[in-house]
Amino acid sequence: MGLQSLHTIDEGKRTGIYFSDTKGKRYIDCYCGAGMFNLGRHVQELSNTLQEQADKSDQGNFVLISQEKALLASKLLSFIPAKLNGVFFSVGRGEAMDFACKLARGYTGRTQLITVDGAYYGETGFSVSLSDGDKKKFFGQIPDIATIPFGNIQALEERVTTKTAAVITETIQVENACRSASEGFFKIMRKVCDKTGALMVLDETQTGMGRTGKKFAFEHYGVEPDICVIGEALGAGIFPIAATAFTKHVQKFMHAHPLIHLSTFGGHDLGCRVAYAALELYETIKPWENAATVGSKLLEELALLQKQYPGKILSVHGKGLAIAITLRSEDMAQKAVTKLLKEGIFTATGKVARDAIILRPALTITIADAQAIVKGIQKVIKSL
Amino acid sequence: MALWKDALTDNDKKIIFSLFSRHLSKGQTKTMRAAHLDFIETRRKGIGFTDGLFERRVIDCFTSAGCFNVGRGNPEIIKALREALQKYDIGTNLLQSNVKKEFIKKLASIAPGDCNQVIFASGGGDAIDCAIKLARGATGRKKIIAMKKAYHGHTGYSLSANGKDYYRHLFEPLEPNFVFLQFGDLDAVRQVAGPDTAAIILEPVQGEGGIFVGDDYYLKGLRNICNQFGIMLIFDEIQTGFGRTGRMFASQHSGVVPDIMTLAKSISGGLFPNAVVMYRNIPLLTQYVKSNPEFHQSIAGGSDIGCAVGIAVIDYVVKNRLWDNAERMGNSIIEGLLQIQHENPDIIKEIRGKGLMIGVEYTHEYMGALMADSLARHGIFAVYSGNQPQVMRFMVPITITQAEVAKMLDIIRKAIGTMRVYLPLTKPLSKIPLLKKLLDDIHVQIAVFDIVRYFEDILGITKRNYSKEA
Repeated sequence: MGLQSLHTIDEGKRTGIYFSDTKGKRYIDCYCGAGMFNLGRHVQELSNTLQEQADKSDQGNFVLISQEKALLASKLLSFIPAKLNGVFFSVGRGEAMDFACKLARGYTGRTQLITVDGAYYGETGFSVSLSDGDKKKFFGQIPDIATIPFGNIQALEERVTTKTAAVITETIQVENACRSASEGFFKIMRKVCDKTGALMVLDETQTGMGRTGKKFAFEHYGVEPDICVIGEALGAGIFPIAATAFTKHVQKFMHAHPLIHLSTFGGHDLGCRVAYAALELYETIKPWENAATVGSKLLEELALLQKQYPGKILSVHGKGLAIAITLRSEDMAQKAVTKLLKEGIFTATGKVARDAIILRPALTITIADAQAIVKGIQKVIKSL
Repeated sequence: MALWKDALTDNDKKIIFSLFSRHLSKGQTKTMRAAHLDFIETRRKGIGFTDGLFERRVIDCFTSAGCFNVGRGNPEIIKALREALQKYDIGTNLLQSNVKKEFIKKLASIAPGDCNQVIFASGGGDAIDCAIKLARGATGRKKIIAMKKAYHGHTGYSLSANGKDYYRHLFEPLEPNFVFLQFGDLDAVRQVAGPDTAAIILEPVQGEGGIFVGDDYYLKGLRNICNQFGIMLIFDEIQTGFGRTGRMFASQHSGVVPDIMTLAKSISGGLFPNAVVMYRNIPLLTQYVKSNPEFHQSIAGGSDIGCAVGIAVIDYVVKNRLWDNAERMGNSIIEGLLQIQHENPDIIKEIRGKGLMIGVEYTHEYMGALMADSLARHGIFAVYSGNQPQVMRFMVPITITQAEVAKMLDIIRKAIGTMRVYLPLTKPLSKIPLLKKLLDDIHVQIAVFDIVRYFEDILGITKRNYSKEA
């Protein structure tokens, strides 16, 4: 079996906020492919789009100019509420982040990348090197990367210099118990970047496309990044596509160095057609509005649960429908995940904070279903 | 413009070029225009596509560097994709599914030797990063031997293993524990490899490097060195896999079984991204993977839809023994090209390759761009190697028929005729060292040809005089 499968469940039918195993047991999907199924499972409209388009286009030759890439780029850039003008498409998160790092180095002519502690960006070389944890020790570290504490304004002011190519962070560290930083941190980050000429890179893979109650989480903090990483939610779980979007200034590098960074499957013409339809669907549904409403209700009820079990639940954190429940120990969190499965709730622990259960259901979830999740969690916590 | 057109109006074309330049890369638009490679692919079918710009059929000899082995718009693969979409979405990387299991079994059934274990990845670069992590993780060593002119991808570790300066130098420093050796030089490997080496990584046939075929002696020699020191032998079969070189995998020519093998491109059927890392069923690797199940997670790779498509691709390749066709048609093309070389010794220096992975080396570096231009005018899309501009790669879909081969050779012959028009100008110039340097400089070529193209467009002589037939 492919190594990624941590559970022996066979995934069968999927629809809305649910999937069933092949024996017919139904689960509420609170993992959502690490925040990919923002519009729900097996989105019928998009499945239909791909079926219709399958004989009208294909992947295309990645070096060629294509109507699909051109129109999707234009659509995506007008979707993002920031002054970004350039885009490069990838298949997934790591690849999109690795490109962001290369772009920052290439554009600034500087080498230093500053990341924050507690981060997770993906599994490729730059992403591993920037992420928390000891994977980089075993697999190899890209040189000239420094780490500062997430949320520490003083560290930003001291460490970011004219030698810095980019300051890189997720807007909210979903895999690290949905840890967030203050508005002040992001404002100062913007300020020191402007002052030093370093680029501000925000990874919105798990926070973008409506997850936190806004289209993108940076809107909460009144800042705009120079480079924004958009993850798999762009293809809404029907087609793997991710993107790196950037400002007009940064784009000069791409104009001057054509074909210096390539992706065979990134900007796949069929995928662009699906993502285009997905963006239209995002614009129609505006799932960020529901994420804000249901998210705050869910947070509220989970906070009550914490008061009920203060010895087991250490904290409840989150924004919109990216919510983490930190338990007393990693072991307890792992047990909770297993027991929640029995209750028909599929979750995962954080990749960084392994003592936390992360809830990231489809953004289309109703308050009643959210309450069912709380009920399930309550039962499990009580039994631990 | 209305979405997704097959027939493009002049205004549509203007919008596409303008949006592509504005939001993707002005430089890329310029480069493609200058080389007459500003195709807009509309109807994709068989061995080619319609160029929406001039409404003419074009034979695809690049195939996204080997993605369309089963042909473009293959109805059997499209059917499998549509069926998969009735049931599946991408699926959940943390869970299993019947289609994932079936795909893994299918891969094992065609695996070389015991290289039959599977890890999913999202694309070629991601697969290489995974392979490097696996080798380093399992051996506990860091040093990796890679090849000059090698091409493995653009993500962090794969780029660190790339042997081409253009892709690397503006992004350095990269991961430092790579040693680069001349492809084919076994003695160099003997001198560098040792008990501190985690892996030797190479393409059994270098693709972008300029089509260099690793011979049996070399590959077997590498296998022996790896056995001696416990080094992981990694074959990057991303371009060579699934029948391209005349065998299911290029390693099967020599019988050398790699410890780790990366596959991507054609596994997708040209329709849905997917990639895998396969590794040998040996305790060193299987135990590492078992005890580190999260060492390389892929959210979108190994998707349920991608696996269903992958199954259909393998079935199609096996059922039609496409590798046999690749070998036959490859030989036929090489034979034709040798004849053309014989007629044009001042232009073609060497023909090399295996199956339908064929390289034509011209006598001068600047000829790569000139030939791409001439071929485009006559209806072939082919590109020169990024790592070796005087080498042009021909990697047509391996479903190609004898009649299509004849047509392809005919076009190449005509294109050489067209290129001869330029030669009286460029050849004497290329004898002057400084001018030769300028001629060989790709940036100079783009600038010059872009101006030429501009005047051609104004004068209305941007003619692509290839046939209209499909």
